[in-house]
Amino acid sequence: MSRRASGLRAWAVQRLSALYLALFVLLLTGKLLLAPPADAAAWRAWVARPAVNTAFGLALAALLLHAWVGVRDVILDYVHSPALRLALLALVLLALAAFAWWGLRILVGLT
Amino acid sequence: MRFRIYRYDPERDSAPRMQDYELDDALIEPGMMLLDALLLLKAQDDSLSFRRSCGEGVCGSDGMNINGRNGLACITPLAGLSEPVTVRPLPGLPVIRDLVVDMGPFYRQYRSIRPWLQNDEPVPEVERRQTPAERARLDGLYECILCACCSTACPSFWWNPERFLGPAALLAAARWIEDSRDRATEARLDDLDGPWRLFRCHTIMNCTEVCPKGLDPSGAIARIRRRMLREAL
Repeated sequence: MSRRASGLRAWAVQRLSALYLALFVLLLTGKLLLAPPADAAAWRAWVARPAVNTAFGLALAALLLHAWVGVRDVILDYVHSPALRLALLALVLLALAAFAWWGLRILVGLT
Repeated sequence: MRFRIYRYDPERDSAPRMQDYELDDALIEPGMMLLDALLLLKAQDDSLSFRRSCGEGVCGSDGMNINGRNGLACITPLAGLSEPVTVRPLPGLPVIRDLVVDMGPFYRQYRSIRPWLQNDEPVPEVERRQTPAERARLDGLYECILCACCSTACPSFWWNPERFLGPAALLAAARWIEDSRDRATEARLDDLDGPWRLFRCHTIMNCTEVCPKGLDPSGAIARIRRRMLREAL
């Protein structure tokens, strides 16, 4: 996690995912304000539509990538013991992987 | 006029202390700079140590933390300072004595970016020429006097001074990356990739805020990032 770990790539991923998330949150808020689903069933049916499902999937990926770069930055800034740093990074990665699995299960379960 | 100045002699003192000084208002002339006041205080107490040389903001020797903000004592007017004027050494560097810091870590980072022209092509009969436009790209980059006000105001440099280059060294790196005569651009960019050397910068912009020469290290770092992105795509 030092010499050839990504610098530019992580930075670009952070910017791109932020852009997507900003757009996604804006559109989602607009949808919920202007044409809110009537009940849980309508909501499930809406999210089950392939385009919406894909958009949610992308948002999940963007959120996890964005969180990874951000938390990694905080750990690299403040944690100076290599062993502790590695342990924390592994822990974060594990948590994000669990979130990915959980989120994907929900999204796939709806289609 | 009242002053509070950081005093520390590692050979004698167990811990740093702040010492109060009083300067007779009769000695203060209009337009006087902080450095002039420090010299008058040194005449009162010759144990007070600080660096100075040109006295006009060109050499970069008297960088210090003045009322919480890094700057050059020689171009900081006394008139604008609230009392007591609190003077500390530049933060984040080891103190040698009083306001004198060890600039070693700062210079090491500067040296590591190879701050010289790299070009192995045969030396031409005349100078390696630039168009006015190519020369203009160096404006805002070459004027740095290496006073360390920016790097020692940067939290990222405080946390990782050995791995993060700091704004001054990155401004210098941008100066050579932008130079049309340099042939090591690719290697220079590669050297800055990775999470540490450049990408510990979180665009806090303290560097641009304090630069006594009015330069924009934060903007220079953004230029390097854009250049890297362009080369990568």
